[in-house]
Amino acid sequence: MTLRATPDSHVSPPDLAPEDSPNLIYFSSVSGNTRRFVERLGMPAARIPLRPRLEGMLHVNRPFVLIVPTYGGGSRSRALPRQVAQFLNVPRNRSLLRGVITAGNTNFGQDYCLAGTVVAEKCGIPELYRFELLGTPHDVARVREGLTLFWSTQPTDPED
Amino acid sequence: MQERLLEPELSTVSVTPPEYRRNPAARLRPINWNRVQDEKDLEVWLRLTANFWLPEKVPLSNDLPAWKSLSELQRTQTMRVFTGLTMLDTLQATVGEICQIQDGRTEHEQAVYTNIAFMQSVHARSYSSVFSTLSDTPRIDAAYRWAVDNDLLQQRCKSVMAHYYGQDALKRKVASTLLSSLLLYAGFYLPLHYSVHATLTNTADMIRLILRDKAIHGYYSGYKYQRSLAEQDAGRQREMHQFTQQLLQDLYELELRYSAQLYEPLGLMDDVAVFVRYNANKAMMNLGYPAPFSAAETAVNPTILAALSPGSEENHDFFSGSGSSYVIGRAEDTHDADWEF
Repeated sequence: MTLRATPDSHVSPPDLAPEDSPNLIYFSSVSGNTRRFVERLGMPAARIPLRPRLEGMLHVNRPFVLIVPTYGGGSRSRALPRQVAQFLNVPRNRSLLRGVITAGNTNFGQDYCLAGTVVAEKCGIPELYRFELLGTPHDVARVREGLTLFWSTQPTDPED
Repeated sequence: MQERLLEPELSTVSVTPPEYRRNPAARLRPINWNRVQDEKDLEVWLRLTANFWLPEKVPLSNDLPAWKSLSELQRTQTMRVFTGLTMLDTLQATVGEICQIQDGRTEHEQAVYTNIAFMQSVHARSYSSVFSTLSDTPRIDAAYRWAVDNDLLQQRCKSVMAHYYGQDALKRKVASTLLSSLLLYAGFYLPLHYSVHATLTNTADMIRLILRDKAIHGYYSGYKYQRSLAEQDAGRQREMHQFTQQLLQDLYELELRYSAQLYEPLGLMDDVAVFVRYNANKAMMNLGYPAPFSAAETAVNPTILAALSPGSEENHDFFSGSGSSYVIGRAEDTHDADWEF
């Protein structure tokens, strides 16, 4: 399958070989806020496509942490972007999910970072971190440190 | 960039009504929601309209016993805080959001701003609902007189107004985003503080409805700003970054001086300053700029954060161990319907 480059700096091929499959997968809407945070992390990452029907859904082959924004102010079922739900409906993708980091806004009260809670509960993995909007420099530093530490504690055998 | 183009013929031979001012000879076209150019416009319209509310839906009279237990000083300061908020939301409803319509990148954006302007009027009216439920006309009138006479409140408003009536659309967006994401928050601190002390809890619930709306307003205005900014050359982008930093600094300093008048008598000013900086960071992030204040400068009192967003004061921080959503278990297969609750 040919690799299709997207306008941002990360290539999002539909099917990644294990050695090419990054351990950080994210979704960002057209606002690009989450993408900006991921770029500042400076770690290899792949983006869940905005239009999976046109671009093909992403298939990963290595354990990963998901970074996802919350669509706030609505119902619980709409907190998670639909493309992320579709990505996680692929059994192999979901089986490799190890943790979730969520972007949100405390203005949404109880729904703050709801997408992360939803994913954590449905998939049985921990919420690792929450940040607001596109994240402060402190958030970027903390996530970088945290991810490094997190992966050092994970078993090296990727299979369930 | 996923914007679909308008049918070529219509976009070249017609304009939206706001463009009449610049091009009175052109033909006008009606809004067409069947051809949305920017999906974000529809997404935000749907979110905002789904969140519609009116102050009549909030049982404010249940706060009467709590109101009566406040001291005269607390009641006076509270009314002045809320009158200040009313001033800003009046400004946004009748000028700030309205003047964004002429700059709309799409016709649907123009419609979204009519919704935002209306909801700012709802916010402004909701503070009056608090007054009329809890207080009396002489005291309400005194608070309004105070607002008109208060030089700092007037200066805060006129600092942004200059840009609303100016020639620069980008500066207009920045001023509006800073107002709705920053200037109001010193005011929002007080009802959150009261709710921590289990007082005026219905008023706090109403404030949370306002906050929910304003988060989307700030996000949307910031998004539109960034889209327009991306089309500018490097020099202009630099100019706008400097402008924004300067305006933020000016408004922040005004904010501290204004808020001191309200909060120093209540002994809350230090906490309020932290909350203001925390929201200044969010205002800048909405505009796509780095958060200027450090983590230490924006460490909001956890009880206030919890009042704003229950659970947010928990440290979801990798190995902290907290975060009630940590569930160890086998992941199950999910289908689209499973994500619906």
